[in-house]
Amino acid sequence: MIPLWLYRRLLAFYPADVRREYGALMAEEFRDGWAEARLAGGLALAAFWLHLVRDWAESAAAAHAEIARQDLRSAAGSLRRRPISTGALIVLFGFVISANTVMVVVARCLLWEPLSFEARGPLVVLTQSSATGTPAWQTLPAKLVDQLARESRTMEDVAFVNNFTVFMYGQRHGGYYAAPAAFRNFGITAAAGRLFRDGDGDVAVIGARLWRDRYHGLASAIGSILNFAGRDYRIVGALSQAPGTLNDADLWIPSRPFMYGGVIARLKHGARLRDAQAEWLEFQRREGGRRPAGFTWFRRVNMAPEFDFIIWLCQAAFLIALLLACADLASFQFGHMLRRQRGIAVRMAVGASRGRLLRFLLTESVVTAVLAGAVSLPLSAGLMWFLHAHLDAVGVSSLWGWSEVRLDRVAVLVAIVLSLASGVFSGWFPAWRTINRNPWPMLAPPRGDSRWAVGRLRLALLATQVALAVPLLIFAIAFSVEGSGRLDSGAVRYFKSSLQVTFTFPNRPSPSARDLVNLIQKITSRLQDKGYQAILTDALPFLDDGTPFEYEAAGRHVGRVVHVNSHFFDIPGFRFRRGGRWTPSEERQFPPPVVVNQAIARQAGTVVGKLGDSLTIVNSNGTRVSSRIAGIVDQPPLDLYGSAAQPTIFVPYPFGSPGRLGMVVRFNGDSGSADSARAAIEAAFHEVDPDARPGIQDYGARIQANWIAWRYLAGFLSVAGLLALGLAVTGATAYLAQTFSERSHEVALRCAFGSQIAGIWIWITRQVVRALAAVTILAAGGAYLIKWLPSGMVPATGLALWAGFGFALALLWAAWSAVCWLASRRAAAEPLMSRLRHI
Amino acid sequence: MKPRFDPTPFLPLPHAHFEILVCLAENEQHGYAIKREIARRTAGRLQLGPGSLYGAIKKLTDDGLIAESDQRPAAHLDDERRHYYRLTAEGQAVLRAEAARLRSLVELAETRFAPARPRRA
Repeated sequence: MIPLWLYRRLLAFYPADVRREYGALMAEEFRDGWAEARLAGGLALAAFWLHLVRDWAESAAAAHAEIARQDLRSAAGSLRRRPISTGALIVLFGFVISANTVMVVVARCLLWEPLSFEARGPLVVLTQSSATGTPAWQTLPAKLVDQLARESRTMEDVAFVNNFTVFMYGQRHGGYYAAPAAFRNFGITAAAGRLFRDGDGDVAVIGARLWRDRYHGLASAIGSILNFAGRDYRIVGALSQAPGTLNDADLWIPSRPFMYGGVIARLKHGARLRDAQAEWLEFQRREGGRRPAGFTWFRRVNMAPEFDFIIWLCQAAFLIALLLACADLASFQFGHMLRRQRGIAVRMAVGASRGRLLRFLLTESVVTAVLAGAVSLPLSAGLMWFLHAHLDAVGVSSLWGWSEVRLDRVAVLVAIVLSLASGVFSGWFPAWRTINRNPWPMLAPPRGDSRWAVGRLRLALLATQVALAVPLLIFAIAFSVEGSGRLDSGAVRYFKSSLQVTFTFPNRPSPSARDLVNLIQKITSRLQDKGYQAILTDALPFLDDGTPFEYEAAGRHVGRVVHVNSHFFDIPGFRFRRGGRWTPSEERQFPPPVVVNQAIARQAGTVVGKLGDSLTIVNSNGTRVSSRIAGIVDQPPLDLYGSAAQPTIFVPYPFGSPGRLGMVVRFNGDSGSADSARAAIEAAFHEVDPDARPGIQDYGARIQANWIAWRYLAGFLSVAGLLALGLAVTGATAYLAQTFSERSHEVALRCAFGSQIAGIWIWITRQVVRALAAVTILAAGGAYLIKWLPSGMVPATGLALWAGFGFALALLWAAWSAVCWLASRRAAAEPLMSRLRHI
Repeated sequence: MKPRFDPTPFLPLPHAHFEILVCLAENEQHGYAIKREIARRTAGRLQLGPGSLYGAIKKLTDDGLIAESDQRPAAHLDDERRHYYRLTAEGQAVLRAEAARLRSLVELAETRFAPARPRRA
């Protein structure tokens, strides 16, 4: 009979004991009711089924809810018996879950989730890989971008964009030269007027900030004239809001065919990145094959590889901490199950199903984990607030998606899933082991062999906790030591007391490139007269990445070009192997004398290697420049996040883009010297060109601020390490509490025969020392894998690793000794009569 | 001495539980008969499906308010498939307490909402 068969399937949704006790009766009930309804006709039959399904859903849910209520009551009673240890575990667990939640949310916002304006399709950008791995925009002439836009089969809204900075009305403003398609890509709309279109001439669209500050948000701004770089532009529209950092752009100007800039486009529906890449390769081959670039996802272009590295490393660290917390919870569960094993055996003996018992036993660990999940929510909110408060100000807010990092529904869901999963994961093994035991021995008092087996299991759990804690502590200490070491290198110390100078012209348009180079030359020589040597470079050490370049012959990126003056080689660590720096008189000679570092000489020995060789450099615009090798130099690392010097070719600064040049002036350290240096710089500017104004910043402080990624990595790893240490201590405490309670008679006997705290301490430690030493050595060996992490951020100095190993082991053993000493003291302090009771 | 049973924690009884106890107060019955009797007495307003019926029976049995009966009716009236249930002494006490509670509620409602007597002219 099909309906009865169907109803029996529905019965499977009831708890097992209800099924076993009442299943047959319910089926009989169903059979009678169904027979009656069939006799009554079709309508009654339909009503019968409707009523039955509703009854089934309600009663099955009620039966499960009743069981859950009973289990929860029992779990709450059990947890209340040890409030301090349970509370400590919940708080630590809560910290671990909150850290994991935040890391998942950060990864989702920065790496996984499409950006808000990518709803119509993902954006791609034409880039070339730089030496540090950060994708750099590939620049193209605007007319070539237009041609690509017309011909592309895989991309739409192919747009030219190029950002600029300008002084207008006495203030610094940012803006973009862009094609109209760029607005569509970023989802930007006009709040007043319109956006510019193809074919528009000297028109401009102003950003929300400029509209508010200069035009008070009035519609009368539309149609007014704005003078920019000596040219008049008619304002045709104003924006209310733009996404992310684009909001900082005050001015949007239509691109012109002669300009160079980047390419941003949207993949057509169904097209993949590799299709766009193949199309670009074909396109650039037709155009002469001079630009070995490729399309990259837009959200990757301002994402330095160290951010990826930090996110993944921290995720791994906090995941290990979560496993450690799970091991702690499992250890607690073992203790609880040992305590209530008689009750469980009775339930088994009277026929409780294994599923029911498993559910009963898992409830406790799930309740603990869910309470920890509840604790984790305010902690996650606090942690996210902390990250925004400290990282927004140092430029992290410019990362696309960073503003989305907050405690939203997804974050809450992640916390819930993490806590439930950890609760089930932690409780499963102890529960499974318990329900698979023979109930009769469980009813008897524990015998030696069963105690030994349980003790071994507990020791295995403790060893697992130590094995998980060791690598975390090693990582935390190694990264902290390495970070301090890199920040204290000779080259960084050299810039500790220095000022960065930028050139501004508030009262007139910027001079031409040639005039600017002349001006810079005059100012540097004037500063030299005043006793200050100025370093000029377009890739500020420890801050900026230089422009990627390629060799013409090799047709591939092999390093970066940095435009510098000869004083750049005064930085400690530069040692000329052959040849030497160029003289000031050679700086403007053609072909320019260049200095290559050993990294270039090593990797491209066939191309570079001999002094006086001619070298052709192809820059990012595809322009070829011939040069002459004047020197080969050993170079110190000038990137905080790279442990070795990148392949670099140093070119005299007059051959670079003078607008990108930065000047660094060192002084003697104290604040008085800083003031003198500032005065000297201002005087030099005034003497050379009264219209030029120096923008002066504390360069040493900027380097410290740029160290933020490493500082936070070390900070997060230290938090993970401290959590690991805390969890290992909690695990050790649980292990000792259970061991002492099980072996109370043995402790009593030892005390009766004169053992003191030290004796008990040695006795307990001897039991664990071999296992813990073995896993510590294994885990420390595993932590050595740190050396092979694929990034320049891994600790490179042996000192950092040895410090990591040494301190981690010392910390763990010190923690064990302290916890074990306290437990031994408590055991030894028990009154004589209580001891006699144990005996 | 056995402590005196206190029915208060069981009150108020869910409607279905109350109806089942009332059925069993008359005589011992099996599940299907209880269901039929409740449907008849409430004029079809309360119809218990198999899940609700045995869910309630399980709860009442676990609480000790009803119990499975060992006695069977005469052979020609018996249905071997059925389990018969009877009211326990605790069940009787709870039923009595619930009835009293309901009675007092009804009395209270009648006092408050009794129609006003017409005034004499």
